[in-house]
Amino acid sequence: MNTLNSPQTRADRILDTIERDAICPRSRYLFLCQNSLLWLAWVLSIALGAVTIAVLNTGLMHGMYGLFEATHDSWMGLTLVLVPYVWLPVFAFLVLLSLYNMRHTATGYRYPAWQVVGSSVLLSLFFGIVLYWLGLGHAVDKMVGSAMPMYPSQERIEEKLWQQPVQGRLVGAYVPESRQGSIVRFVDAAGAAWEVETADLAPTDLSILETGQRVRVLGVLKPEQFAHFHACGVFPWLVGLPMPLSALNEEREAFIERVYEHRRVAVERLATLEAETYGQNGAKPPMGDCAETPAAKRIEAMYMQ
Amino acid sequence: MAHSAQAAHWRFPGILQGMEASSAVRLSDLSDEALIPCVLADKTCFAELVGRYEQPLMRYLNRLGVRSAEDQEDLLQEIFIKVYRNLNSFDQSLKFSSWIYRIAHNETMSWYRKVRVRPEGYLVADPEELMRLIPAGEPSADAQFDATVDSQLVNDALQALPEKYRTVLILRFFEHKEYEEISDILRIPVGTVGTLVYRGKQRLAALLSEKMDV
Repeated sequence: MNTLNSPQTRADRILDTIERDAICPRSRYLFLCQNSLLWLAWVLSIALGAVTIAVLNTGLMHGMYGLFEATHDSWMGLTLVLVPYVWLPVFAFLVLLSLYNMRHTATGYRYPAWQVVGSSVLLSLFFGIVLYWLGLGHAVDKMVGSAMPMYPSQERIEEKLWQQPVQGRLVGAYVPESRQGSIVRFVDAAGAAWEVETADLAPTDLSILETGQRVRVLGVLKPEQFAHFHACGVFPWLVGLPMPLSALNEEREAFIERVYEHRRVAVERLATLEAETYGQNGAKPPMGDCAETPAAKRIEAMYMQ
Repeated sequence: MAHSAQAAHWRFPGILQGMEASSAVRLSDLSDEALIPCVLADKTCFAELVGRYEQPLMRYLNRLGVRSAEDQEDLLQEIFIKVYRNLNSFDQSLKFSSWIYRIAHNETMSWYRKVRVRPEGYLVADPEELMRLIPAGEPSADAQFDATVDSQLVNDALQALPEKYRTVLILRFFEHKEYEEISDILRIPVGTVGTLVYRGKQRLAALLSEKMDV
């Protein structure tokens, strides 16, 4: 477009173009909508971030800390299982999305990236914890778990960890009125029926077992008998319940106390028997199934030396 | 049709606060921001805005490396049309000049991308001013900047700078914009502007030293 030799002023040429092409200023509402949509997108990314935090929190709060000696050799092993591989990248993506949205609002560029990212993370954390307490974290975790078979929902992780009879862990529910002496019938998470020996259980364990709710059972598989499990401790199935730190601590204390009790009683009994029989044939009596579980040994090694 | 002559005085009932209805206003007395409602009501008032910004924007395009008069004219026309089309998006918390420079900057960058050419060198109108500014905060470099530095040298050094530094230095030292204005023009935080200016000056000083040694 060569307009350099035109006698008109530049302003006149521009106004002629505006008139000729019927150019009009775009509506104020268009810009208002655009800006509002960007803010809405920012709010949405924060809201989704909060849901992500709620799910992350569900995983972390139900992270099997309380009973970690029952399932893992060390904290490191537990930590590797607990890293929320799915939700951490999702959260990072949402934080970046919030930065992008904020930066594209009319005035969002004025804030440094660290402020936008920091405020997004803090807001997501705050609302995420609120949503966790409202139970949304578990609901989303469960929903995604049922929609995607590959997704490691908290329920799936914990079920997989506790449905390990060979390693002395079982998850399932007591069959009501099935007691015969110290043996009860029990159906595990896979639907298999078990005979569970409850002779070594403390009254607390028995009361938890007999609620008929889903429970976690720590014990010993008796290979010499078909589908026979010797129970040493019973713990409630907590997935889906809000877990304050105090509840986690209580769970842990109860676990250590009950599992160590087996070890303590066995050591005392062993000492007594050794005193009675020492020198006769030199053979040491067994300590008992529950005192020999890996969990009892780990707890003794960690706390009782 | 000479629209600009028509628009020299404008009657607008009650648009500006404190103004008597139907009073005649000299457009040249109005601020840029106050002109916007006039333009929205009567497009001929746009001539006043064009008149105010054609020379500064032409100079800015020149500094950004658009050298051909024809390209400058086309680009300027596109910039003003875009300004007119987007008048309603002007945010009153900004200075109008920052907003129009932002459009000019973005249009120029888009134009470079479209025509796929590199800027044809940067025009430094006042190298002495830059020479005064560059050594600020760099006392050891003072001695290196003397009268032997000519504008060609500064142009070459400026051209060798990465785009992000070059743009802020042009806006800061040749367009004399404040940090807040540069922030609004380039849509970056003020702190980032400060960092870019500081690093840009350091790099430019280093480049000039190299060129002067050669």
